[in-house]
Amino acid sequence: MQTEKSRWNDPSLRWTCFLIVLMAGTAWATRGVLARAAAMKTSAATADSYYKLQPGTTAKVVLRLDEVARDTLTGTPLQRETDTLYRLAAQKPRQIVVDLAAETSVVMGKPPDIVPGAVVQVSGAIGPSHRLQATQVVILTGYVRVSSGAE
Amino acid sequence: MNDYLQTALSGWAGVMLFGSGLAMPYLLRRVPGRNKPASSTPYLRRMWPHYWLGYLAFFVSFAHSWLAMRSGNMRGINASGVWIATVALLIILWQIAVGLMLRNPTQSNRRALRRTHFWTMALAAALIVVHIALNRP
Repeated sequence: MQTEKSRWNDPSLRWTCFLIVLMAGTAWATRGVLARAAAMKTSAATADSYYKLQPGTTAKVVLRLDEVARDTLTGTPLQRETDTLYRLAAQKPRQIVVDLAAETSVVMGKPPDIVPGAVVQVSGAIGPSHRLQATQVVILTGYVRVSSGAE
Repeated sequence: MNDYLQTALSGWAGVMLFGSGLAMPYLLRRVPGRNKPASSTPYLRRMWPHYWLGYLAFFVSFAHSWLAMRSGNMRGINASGVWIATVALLIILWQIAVGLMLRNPTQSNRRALRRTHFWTMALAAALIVVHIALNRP
């Protein structure tokens, strides 16, 4: 007992433990931040290109949600200007309907964040009637700005 | 580097600086029979990393809040978490003021100030944890 206590009193041991915890914490935080930043990186399809894709192909779109039903989202596609700025086209593009499934993962937020007005990036396969069968929804609300087409 | 990266990395940097500053008094304190004569510098002088980590933690936290709010788009962000972070930032400022008083070697009210400094640290740490839980994406 006494030996254990005196060992812990060793300054070099205390500094070593501190540095290990600090490095592990830094690595964990950095990894989490970079993983989320990678999930936010978008190469989203525009409204026009989305409807040209064949059913069965995978797509990634950024939408401003107009309607949220239980497992169905309806949103207006946004055009990417920069990583943090999206534009709503002056002429309102055709809406995209998204089907959520039990396996759909929600990243950067929680299911309650999926509300009308939210900005989300949806990835998934294009199903019948060009409905997007979502595998992942990334909540971008609060991280990106949306400008209207007139701006 | 996008806004998210800047905000997140500055936030975590603030946490690491705060945590490191918190650990310093325990790492730098004299252990009976362990310290060599060469390290017999007075405790308050040896504590300089604690002071600078404290100041840095405040400035990095302030930069974090500025980076988070400069976009002006706070929709979807948990407002309670933002208020808690604001209170934590003010508490860190108060903590610096108490720390500056403790740096004075002739401070007569040292015992009470040290207790205040400790519990203020505990409160700030708790608020930071709640802020991370509420506002972490």
